Amino acid sequence: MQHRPNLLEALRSVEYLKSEKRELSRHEYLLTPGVVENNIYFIEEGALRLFYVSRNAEHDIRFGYSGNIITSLGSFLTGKSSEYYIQAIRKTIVYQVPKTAFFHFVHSDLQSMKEYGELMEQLALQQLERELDLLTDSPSERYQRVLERSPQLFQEIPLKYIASYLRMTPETLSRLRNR
Amino acid sequence: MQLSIDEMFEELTELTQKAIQFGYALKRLEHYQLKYKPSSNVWNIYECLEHLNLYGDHYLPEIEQALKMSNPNSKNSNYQGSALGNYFVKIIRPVEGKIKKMKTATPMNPIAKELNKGTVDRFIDQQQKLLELLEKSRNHDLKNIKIKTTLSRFIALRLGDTLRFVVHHTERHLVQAGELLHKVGKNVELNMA
Repeated sequence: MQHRPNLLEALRSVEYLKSEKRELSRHEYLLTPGVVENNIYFIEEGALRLFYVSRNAEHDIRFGYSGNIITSLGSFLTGKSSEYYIQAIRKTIVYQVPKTAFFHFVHSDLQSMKEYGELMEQLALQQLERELDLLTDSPSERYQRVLERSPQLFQEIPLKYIASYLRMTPETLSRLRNR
Repeated sequence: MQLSIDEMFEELTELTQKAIQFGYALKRLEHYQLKYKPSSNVWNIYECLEHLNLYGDHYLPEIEQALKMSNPNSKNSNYQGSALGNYFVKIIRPVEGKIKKMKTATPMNPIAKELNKGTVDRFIDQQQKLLELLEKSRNHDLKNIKIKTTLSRFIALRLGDTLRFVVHHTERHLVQAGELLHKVGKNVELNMA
C-alpha cells in the first residue's frame, strides 16, 4: 500500500498535486507584478530571488534555493496581482503546482492540514525574525543575524543580492565580510 | 578610471541578458496594462520601451557598421573611458533614491505614437542584437573605434563608452518600467479599452 506523501514530497508528485517540472533559464522571470500567482513552487535545483522595484532600484525581499518552497504568497492567497517579481538567479529547476490542486490536497486529509499549518507557523516565525532584521540599525548586526541563521545563503546567492536584502551597499557588505 | 575588460563585459552582458528576459516577461501582460499611465505626463511601459527602441535604431547599425569596417585586435585588457564617455554613463545610469528628471530630445520622445505589443517584440530583437554586438566588440579596439552619438554626428564616443552608455541607458528605463509595473498591478480594475 502506497503511503500518502508529506507536503514537501507531494509538491514533486504529478499524481497528488498535478506537479509539473519546469526549467528556468538564468534571469528568467517566473512572475511579475500585474500577474496573479496561481502556482506554488518547489525548487529542485538552482536559486530564485523575490524582489520589488522602487526608488530607482531593485530590492531583494527573499530568496529560495534547492529544497525550498516559494511563491508570491499575498497574490497566491488573495487572488490579487502579485506585488513582487520572482526571477531565476541561475538556471533553475522547479516543480510547479497549481493552487486548486494544492488546496484540494491540503484539505483532503488531516495529516496534510497539519503539515500546512506547520508550514504557515514556520513562515510566521521567519517573518518575525525578518521584522527584527529590519528594525536593527547596525549593518554589522544585520549581517551577523542573517549569517547565523542562514549560512547557506552565502553559498547559493551572489553577494550583490544579499547586500540588497541586508539593506546595505555591496561595498559595505564586502567590508563586513573581510573584517 | 580603469576597468578590467572582463568585468566590464560581464556586467554589460548580464544587464543585456536581464533586459531580454524582462522583455519576455512583459509579453505575458495585457495590452491595457502596458498602456497604463499613472498620470498623463508619465511614460507608460510601451513608451519606455519605444524610447529605447529609438536609441537602438541609431546605435545598433552604427556599431555594427563600425565593427565591419575594422579588424579585431585582442590587445584589450583594461579599458579607460573618455571623460565625456564617463560623464554620459554617470548621468544616465539609475541611482537609487534619486529620480533625475531629464528632458528627452524630441526625436527620441515616444509620446503620442501608436504603440502596441509589437513594441515589446522589437525591444527583444534589439536586445538580442546588442548581445551579439557586445560579443563581437570584445575583440575590437574599444578606444579608437568611434561611434556617432544621437546628439550630433560631430560628437562621437569611443566604442567602449557607447556600449556602456547604451546598456546603462537601457537599464535606467527598464528600472523605470519595472517600478511602473507595480502600479499597474494595483489597479486591476483598469479601463480595458
